[in-house]
Amino acid sequence: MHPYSLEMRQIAAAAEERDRPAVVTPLAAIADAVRGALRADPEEVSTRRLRLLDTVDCRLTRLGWRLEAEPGGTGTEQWRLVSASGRVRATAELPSPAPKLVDDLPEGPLYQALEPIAGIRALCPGPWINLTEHRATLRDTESKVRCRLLAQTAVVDGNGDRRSAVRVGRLKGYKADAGRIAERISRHYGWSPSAPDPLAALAESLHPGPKGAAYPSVTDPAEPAGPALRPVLQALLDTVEHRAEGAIADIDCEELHDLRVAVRRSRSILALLRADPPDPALERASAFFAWLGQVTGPARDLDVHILDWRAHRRRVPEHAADLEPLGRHMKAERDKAYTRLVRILQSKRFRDGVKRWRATLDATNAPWAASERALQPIGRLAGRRIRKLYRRAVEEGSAITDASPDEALHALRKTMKKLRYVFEIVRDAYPRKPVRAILKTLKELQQDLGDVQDTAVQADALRRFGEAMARNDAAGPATLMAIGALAEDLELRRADARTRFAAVFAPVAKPRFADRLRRLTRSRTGGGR
Amino acid sequence: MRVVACYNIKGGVGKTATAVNLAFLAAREGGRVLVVDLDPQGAATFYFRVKPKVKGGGKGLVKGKRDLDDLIKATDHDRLDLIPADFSFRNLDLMLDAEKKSKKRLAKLLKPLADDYDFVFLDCPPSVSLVSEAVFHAADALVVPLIPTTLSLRTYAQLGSFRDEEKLADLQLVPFFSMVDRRKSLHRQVVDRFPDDHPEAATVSIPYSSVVERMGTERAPIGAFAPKSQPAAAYESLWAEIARRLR
Repeated sequence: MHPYSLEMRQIAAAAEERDRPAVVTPLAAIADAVRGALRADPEEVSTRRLRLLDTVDCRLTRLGWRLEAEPGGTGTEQWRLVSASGRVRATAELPSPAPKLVDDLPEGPLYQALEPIAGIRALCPGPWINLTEHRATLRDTESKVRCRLLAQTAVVDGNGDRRSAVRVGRLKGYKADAGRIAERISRHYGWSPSAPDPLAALAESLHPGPKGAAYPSVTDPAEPAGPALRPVLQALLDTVEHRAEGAIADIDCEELHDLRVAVRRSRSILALLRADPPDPALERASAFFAWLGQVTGPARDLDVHILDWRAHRRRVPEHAADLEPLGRHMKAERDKAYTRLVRILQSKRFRDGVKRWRATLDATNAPWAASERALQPIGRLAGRRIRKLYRRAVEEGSAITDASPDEALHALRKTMKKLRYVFEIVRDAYPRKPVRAILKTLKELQQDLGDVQDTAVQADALRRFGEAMARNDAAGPATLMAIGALAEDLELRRADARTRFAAVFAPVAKPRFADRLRRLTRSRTGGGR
Repeated sequence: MRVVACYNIKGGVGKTATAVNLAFLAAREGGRVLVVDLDPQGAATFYFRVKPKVKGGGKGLVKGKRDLDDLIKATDHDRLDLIPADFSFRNLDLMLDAEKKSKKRLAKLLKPLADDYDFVFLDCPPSVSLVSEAVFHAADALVVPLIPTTLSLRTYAQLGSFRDEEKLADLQLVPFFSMVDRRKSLHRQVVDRFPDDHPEAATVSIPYSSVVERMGTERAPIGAFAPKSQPAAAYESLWAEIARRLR
């Protein structure tokens, strides 16, 4: 038996008793034990304190990436973005506290790497982690490094969650050495050198994913609509509740956005289930969601204005300083709107609405679930609704000319949203490939319609902000001119989006698209008409 | 991936020291770096403590029979790898000559590494040969160490003509002075006057120093054993200038 084996086995056994992964201690002993023809440098031990950041919907962790932040020099933080392969993609020293939004990060490799992943999402720090690292280097007779051993133990402050791993560095050209050493570690001490990186494992446990799936879908088209849609509606209500908490805590402006999307999707399903005579519980829920959609609108509009302002500030850096008073004004307006929003989301009306709707959904013998519509196969019911909304969309879109008012495009946008939401409720019941193609075409049209509407609303809001700021002496001529330039830019973008309309609407109106949609929504649905 | 060749027609001017130190600095900044030791003397290979042996020798390398990745050895420094020299590289000219499109062969061999490395440094043998031409075709920049002597300047002029003959207008030339002893008036004069006729010259010079010679006993880049020395600072400035030009 190897002289170190007993000691190592004792450590491993003690760790097992605590029902935790083995805590690695004298790494040099391992290095010495497995060295063969190699010699080990003295072991180096270091400790770090860091936090892992991610978006609320865990975009980095889902990719296998992680963003580490640790205290830097005076008043700074050192950020490190590590990809799934363990490669450091970017680092940056940031003032502490660091910006919450990627858009507020300074231009540079970190911004470039994070922006496509996190987008407009806020970066939320997790709890503090203490990371202890033991390093040992094995060298040959020429003093050339042939293998590196690293033992890491990461412990989360507070909950004591602990992850450990031993890693055997596989150096290019010397992988046979690493393989031999890994095999010996595994044989002698029972530790797997392929155990996951402790920080990656902790990232998965700390950032498991968003609470409340935003876009659930039914899978069996033959199932009666009531039982099929009940879990979808419950999941959407979960999203409303969780996102309301997020919006109250003001973690991320997308919390409110996701809440509103869940509200609109719920309304789409309620419209699908609307019975004759109307069911009182469903009517009450429809009224509740209509109210919720309406009262959360102003806060969301201001979020969108601020996001667009941030993007614009980055696009025209020469106007950035002049636009700062506008940013402050919008921020103040947003704070007011969020104060009102928080009041609404903490109100009795909101709480009662959620509670009642949940009780309705949880009741097994609720009358709504026994209505004629709720008993129809969901595939047939949704298919009919999809085809009807599609016909309406084509009718509305075909009537739009260059002279049509923006309102006509807005009406079409609303129809398209309803169509997409119903389509997405049943998307998993259809073959994936045609669904993806249809959604792509619909999304392109919706994006364009969204651009027309959003730019018009924003340009209008900017004018109002400018007037209010001028009245209160909150903006000098340079700021007012910059606002004018911004409004003009929005106007150009609106005109551009209108020009694109015909091109993005044409594929939707094509008989081939209509035929594909019809065939898809009539297949495997009980042949509904 | 940017390819930087450390080249001069003359030998003993500091090509290997330049390749090794610049590669170390590029890796220290976070870049993924590969050094290719094309010189059969294998000085760069020696500095990195790697055995001067390539599976299949120069022929295997040139023919591309073996995946280039199999020839790569990790050095003792993070993100810094090496394709070591092999004594058979003394015949690299002949081996290249036996291939089709021999001048573009090296560029073709390096191309698959583009996803794995940000910088490749070529440590070239001192000569004007088919290997040099292949290097010129593969490189984005030719970093040319010059000793401040008249003969050295003459070889740089020859190099410029050679580049023009080969119609490689995109190939950046970055001459700089190494082994500069500012106590010598000739060195001072040459270093001060050269940029007048050669605006492409780097503004940094590497001083003559025993620290550079210690690379042979330490078998490591200067930044690893004497990071605060004068030559270390000079190489850092030189790399900053070259990295800026490569962007």
